[in-house]
Amino acid sequence: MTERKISQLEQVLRSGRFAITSELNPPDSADPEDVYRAAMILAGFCDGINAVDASGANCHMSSLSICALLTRAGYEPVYQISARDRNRIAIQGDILGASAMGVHNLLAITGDDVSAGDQPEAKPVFDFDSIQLLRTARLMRDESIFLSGRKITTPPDLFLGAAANPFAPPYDWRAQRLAKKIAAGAQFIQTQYCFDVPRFKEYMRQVRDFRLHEQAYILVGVGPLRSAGAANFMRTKVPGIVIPDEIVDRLKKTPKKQQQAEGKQICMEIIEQVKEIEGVSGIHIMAYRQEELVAEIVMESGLLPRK
Amino acid sequence: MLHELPEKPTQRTLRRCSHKWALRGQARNEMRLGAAYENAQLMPKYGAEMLWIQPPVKRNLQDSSAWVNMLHGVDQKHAVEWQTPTQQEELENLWRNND
Repeated sequence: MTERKISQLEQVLRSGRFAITSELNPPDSADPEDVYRAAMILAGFCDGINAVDASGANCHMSSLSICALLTRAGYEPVYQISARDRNRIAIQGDILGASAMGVHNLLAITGDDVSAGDQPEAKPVFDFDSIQLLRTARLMRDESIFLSGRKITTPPDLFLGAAANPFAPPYDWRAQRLAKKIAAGAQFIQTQYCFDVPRFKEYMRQVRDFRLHEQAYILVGVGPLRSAGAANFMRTKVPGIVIPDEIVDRLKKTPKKQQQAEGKQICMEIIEQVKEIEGVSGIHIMAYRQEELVAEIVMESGLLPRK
Repeated sequence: MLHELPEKPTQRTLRRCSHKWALRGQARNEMRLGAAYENAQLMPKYGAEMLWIQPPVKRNLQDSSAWVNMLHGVDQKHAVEWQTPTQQEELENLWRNND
């Protein structure tokens, strides 16, 4: 029997080092160079690059194809797989294919409803939810079977992840929801954008009470806000994002030309606070259309070089 | 003349209200809501089941009778185990700790 392949991200987390992941905004193009250009900006500064799966229910290059291109070029992708667009037969096949191509990090998400995107008339599949998807992937990896019970000759090598939103009510039950995802198979967690640090601290207190931080690695989602207008758009139009008034006000009070720098400064201040919280194993930087800032944020926050 | 209702009508004051016109509009709606609330209290409360890892829906059972499926147990048969008894117990303990 061959030994299970361990991804670079898993190695970093297992070694106790503070992990950094980021997102690659998928191109609206069939040119692989667009993927490589975006990856090159991120690669030296993160342990894993998330290939998002039609985020916000908008069509872009598929996450599996991006992962295939990234592994071909030697990068470390995190394959985001959404339950919105594929049924259980397609998802199980994609998981096998991804592992065969050397993609070993998988992030299972339910996905925003099609009504959130620019093609609301599309059919939403949702054959699984994220928890069922995780359980299925774990079943394929650990028991070498499909959902039907049919044997898999070579199981996929997977490091399983899930998303969590500590900022969505009911807050008291967020940690239980996380526990359910961990029980289903999640080994690492990437959270939604964190702009409300006190709320996140309270969430982590619950996580520690249930000792969940010992069962999965928690990466906090952070990101620079481009402007006050962008912050306002995100908190009103993007599902699941909570940005407190103080942050929007702080950006509004800043002259327009300096708002991007102020957004980066806010992001770095949040990183400074969350990295000290017990149970936090890393950060996940989501710099939508500002990928060039990821390197600056990582270096100026002192996350690299690692001590 | 419409019977005047107390500022915060209760189930008791609403039920004792003899004037039929008083039961129009808001009063009648509130009485319905009150009855619905009382009935809801009689319903079973969901608890730790919310934390169980549910198997995916069997879509081939669509358009068949839920009652017949339940009697025959076809909705409960799965090729693989979705949650071990140990996992179930652990998740239920989390529920009890938070309650």
